[in-house]
Amino acid sequence: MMTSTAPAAISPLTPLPAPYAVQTEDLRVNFGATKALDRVSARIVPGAITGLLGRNGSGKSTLLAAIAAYRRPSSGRVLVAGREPYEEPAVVAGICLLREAGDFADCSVRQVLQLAASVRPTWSSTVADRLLERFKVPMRKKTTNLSRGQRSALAAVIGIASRSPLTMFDETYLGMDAPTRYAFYEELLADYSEQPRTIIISSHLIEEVERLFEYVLVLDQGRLLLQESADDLRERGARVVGQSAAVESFVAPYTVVSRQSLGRTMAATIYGALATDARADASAAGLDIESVSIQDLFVHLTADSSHYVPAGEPVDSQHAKELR
Amino acid sequence: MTAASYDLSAQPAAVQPNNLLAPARWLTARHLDKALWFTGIVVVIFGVVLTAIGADISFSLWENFVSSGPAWFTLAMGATAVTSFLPVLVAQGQTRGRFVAAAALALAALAALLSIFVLVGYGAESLLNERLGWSMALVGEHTFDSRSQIFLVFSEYFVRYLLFGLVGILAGYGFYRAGGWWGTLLLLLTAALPLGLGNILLVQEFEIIRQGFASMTFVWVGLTTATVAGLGLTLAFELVLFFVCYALLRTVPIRTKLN
Amino acid sequence: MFDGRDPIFRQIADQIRQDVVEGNLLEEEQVMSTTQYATTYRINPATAAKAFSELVDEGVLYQRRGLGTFVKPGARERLLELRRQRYFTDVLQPALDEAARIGIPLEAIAAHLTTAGDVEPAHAVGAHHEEKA
Repeated sequence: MMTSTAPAAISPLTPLPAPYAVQTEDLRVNFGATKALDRVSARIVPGAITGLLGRNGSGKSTLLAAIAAYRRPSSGRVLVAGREPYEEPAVVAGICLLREAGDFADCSVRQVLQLAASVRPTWSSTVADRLLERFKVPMRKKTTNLSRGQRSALAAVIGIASRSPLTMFDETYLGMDAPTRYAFYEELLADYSEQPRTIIISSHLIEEVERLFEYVLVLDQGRLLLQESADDLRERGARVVGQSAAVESFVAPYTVVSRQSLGRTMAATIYGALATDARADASAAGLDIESVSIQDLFVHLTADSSHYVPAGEPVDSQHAKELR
Repeated sequence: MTAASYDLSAQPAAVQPNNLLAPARWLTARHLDKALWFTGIVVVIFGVVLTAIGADISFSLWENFVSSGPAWFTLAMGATAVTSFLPVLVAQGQTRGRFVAAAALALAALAALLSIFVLVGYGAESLLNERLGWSMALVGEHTFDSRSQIFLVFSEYFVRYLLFGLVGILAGYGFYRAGGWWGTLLLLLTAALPLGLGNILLVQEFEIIRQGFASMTFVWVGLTTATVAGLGLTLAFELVLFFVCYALLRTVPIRTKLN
Repeated sequence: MFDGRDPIFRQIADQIRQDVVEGNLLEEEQVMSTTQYATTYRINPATAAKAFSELVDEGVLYQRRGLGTFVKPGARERLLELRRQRYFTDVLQPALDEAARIGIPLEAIAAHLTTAGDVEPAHAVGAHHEEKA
C-alpha cells in the first residue's frame, strides 16, 4: 500500500542484520552543571528485550539519546555493534529510537511513513500496513496535530515495522489507553519472535510491562544501580504471607521493603537472598513464600530520595513554540 | 531463547545505509509542496498586477521580482529544512552529515525548478512585449544580454537561489541550536554576512568592500547585477558554505520537543 | 493469568506437567509455541523457552527443529513416578503438619486411613493409566 517503497539496501539475498549489542563505557552526559548520566557502564544483551527502569529524571531518556547518537557523550564511550555510533551512517541506519514527544516532521503521517519506508533497510510494509489498521493511525493528519494517543500509535507502528536491529522505546506507549497498550505489547512480541532484534523499553509503568523483559537495567539519579536478568532480579526478594506474628518473626533478620496487613494476616516483602533453610522454616511456620514483582523491588531500590535532584534534559519550550 | 545464541563481542554493522537519493528525494518533495503554492500565488498576483499596469511600465517587473522573491523563498526552505526536517531524518537513521548533503541536493533541485519558472516567466514577458506592444525592458547588468539566452539566464538564477538556500541552512542551524531569540540575533552572522559575501562575489563589486558597509545596501538592492566570473566565484563560495554547514550541523544535539 | 506466587516460567512448566498428568496433553501432542505463549500472556518468549528447557531436561517434552515442541512418549509415567517419590515429603508430611497445627490427633488420621483403605483398587494409579492409554 502506501508504505510500499522498495527498501534500497535489503534484497532477498541480503542476510538479515544480526541484533546489535550495546555497551557504554564510563558514560557521562552533562547539561551544564547537571549530571544527567554519571559514569554509566552498561551492557545490553543483543537479541533480547531489556527493560530500562528509573524514576523521572533518572537519566533514562538521556541514555537512550546517547545510544542513538542523538547527542554526543560529555565523556566516556557508547558502542553499538562494536562501533561508536555518532555520525556513523552504517551504524545509525540500524538504530531506531522512538520518543514520547515524537520526532516527526512538519508534514503528514503518510509522508513520515514514506520516509521511514524508503530509508530503513529492514522496513516491512506488510507489518506496517497491518499495524496502521490495528492502531487506527490517521494517515492524512499532520504529525503536529496528532493527539497523544495517536502519536503513541504512530511511534508503535514505526518502531515495530522498522525491524531495526536496535529498537528503543522511550515511554512512547504512555499516551495509549490500556487496551491499545496491550495490543502494542502483543504486536511487539509477535514481531520480535518472528524477527529477533535488540529491544530496549524504558518505563516507569513497571508492573504492566515487566513480563516483557529478559534483562533489566535500573538507573537512579544518573547512575547505574544494577543490570541483570529479570529472573535474577526477582530472586533478590521474596514476599512472605501468613499470620502477622509469624511473618514478623520470620522477616526479622531481613531488610523489609514493605508490609501489608489485613486483620491478622500480613504480607511482607523482603529484599535479600533467603537463607538456605528459610523455605522449609517458612513452610513449618505456616507461611507462604511468593516471588516479588520487579515493581516492588524497584520502589525499594530507588526509595532514598532525600537528596534527590532531578537530573534531566532541559526541554526548550520557548524554542519549540516559536518554530512551529 | 535468542540471547544465548548471539555472540556478545563486537559485530560488524550489517545494515548498510542506502544511497543519498532517498532522503534527498523526500526533502525535495516536501519543498515542492510549498514551492507549488509559492509559484501559484506568484502567477496569480502577476496576472492581476500586469493586467492593471502592464501597458504603462517600461521596466521588467518580472526581473525585479525574481531577483529577490524566489531567493528569499529558497532561503526560507533552507532554514525550515533544518528546523523541521533535521530531527525526523536523524530519527529515521540518517546522520546529520547526510542530512546536510540531502538538503543541499534538495535545495539545488528547488533552485533549478525555480530557475525554470523564471525562464518561463521571462518567456511570457517577451511574448507580452511582442504581442501587446508592451515595453518591459531589462534593467540590470546580467550575465545574459537577452531573455532568450536560456542557459545563462538559468545559470545565473540557479547560482543565486542556491546561495540563498545554503545560507538558509546556516540560518536554520542558528535557530535550531540557539533558539528563536538568539537565532534571530545570530542572523547577522548566519545570514547577512554570507549573503553579503556571496552577492559581492556574484556582482564582482569588490569596491563595496573597500568603500565600507554603508554601500552594503546597494548589494541588497542591486541584485540584478551579475557577471559570468561572478557565477564561478559564487559557486566556489557555495561549496565552502556547504562544508561550513556540514561541519557545524554535525555537532548539533537532537533535542526533545515539547508538544 | 499468572499470579505472583512463582516465577512465570515455573508456572508455565507446572501447568504443562499438570496437563500431561491429567491427560489434557497426550504423547506426541504439540504444545503452544513460545511465540504463542508470548503473545497470549504478554510475556517474553524467553520465559516460555525457559519452561520448555526445564521440561526437556526432565524428559517431559522434546523439540523438533522447525516444527515445535511435543510431549515426549512416557512423559506421564515419568511425572507420576516423580510425584510418587515426592509424595511423602511434599504432600503427606505437610498434611500431617497441618493436622498437628489444628489439633487432629494421629489416631484420628489412622482411623480415617483404615476406612479409606476400603477404596477400590481401580482407583490405584496403574488402573488409572490403563483407562487413559
